[in-house]
Amino acid sequence: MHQFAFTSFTHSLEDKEIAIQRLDDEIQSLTARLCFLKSERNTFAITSTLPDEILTKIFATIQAACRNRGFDWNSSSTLQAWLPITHVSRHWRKVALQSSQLWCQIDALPEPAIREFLVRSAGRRLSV
Amino acid sequence: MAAPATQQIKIRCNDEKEFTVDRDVLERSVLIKNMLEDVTEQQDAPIPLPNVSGPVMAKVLEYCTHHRGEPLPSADTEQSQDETRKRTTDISEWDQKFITVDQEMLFEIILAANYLDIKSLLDVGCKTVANMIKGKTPEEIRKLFNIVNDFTPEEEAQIKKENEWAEDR
Repeated sequence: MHQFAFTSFTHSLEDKEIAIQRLDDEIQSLTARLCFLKSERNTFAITSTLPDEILTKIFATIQAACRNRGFDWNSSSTLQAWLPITHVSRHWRKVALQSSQLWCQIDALPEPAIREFLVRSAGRRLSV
Repeated sequence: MAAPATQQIKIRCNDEKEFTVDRDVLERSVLIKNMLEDVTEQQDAPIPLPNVSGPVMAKVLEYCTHHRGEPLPSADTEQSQDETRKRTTDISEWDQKFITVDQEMLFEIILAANYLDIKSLLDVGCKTVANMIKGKTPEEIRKLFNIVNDFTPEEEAQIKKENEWAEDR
């Protein structure tokens, strides 16, 4: 009786792990599906009618305007002012990350940021 | 002595709407200017503009008429970094009033300016959108343009790290 209970407990633990794994996989798959559907929805946003080069031009205008406010280029306050454009949607982020001109001005930034700027500037002439 | 008559050109939009416009007004568009230079003989057939609708063209022509006679910007090569830095979001008073339109018309004007190659109008449109975005949080920008957050959890984690770049200093 005792042994049966122990075996049953072991099985139920294994079953539980399998069940959890199965649910985790499903959650992951549904999360990916949800992101895909949201991206699809975003293709109907008015900003999606603009070609990438125009979106880039708008981003560069915002960045330049932030700099012209009088802060040091890429100082924390300037960075805080224009970086949100890269955090709006996957499409905006992709366009911004591929616009090397946004990332070629490197100032006093934390080391991880400098590393990212170097990658994103994609070999463009840097201004430090 | 009477001034020489200005040549008038006919254009036809994608909704069949036609306009007859002074050549110098139309030549604010580099696309149309090049088309007209390629035509050696005077032709009566309207120039087809398949990517622009009548209402949008009416707005574009309002802009071109106001700015007729002003020097056209030099051929645009890739903008230098210095030029990019000089770029601001300042818009003249007339242009600001002109571009005060609903969001749909604003984006149509930008697309038309891009297609017709009217650099100054494209700049006004882009600066206007930049002014709408500037200083807003990602959530506020999403709300403004009916965009939803479609980032994966991994991307959200990366974004969180990037937000720390500015806070670290």
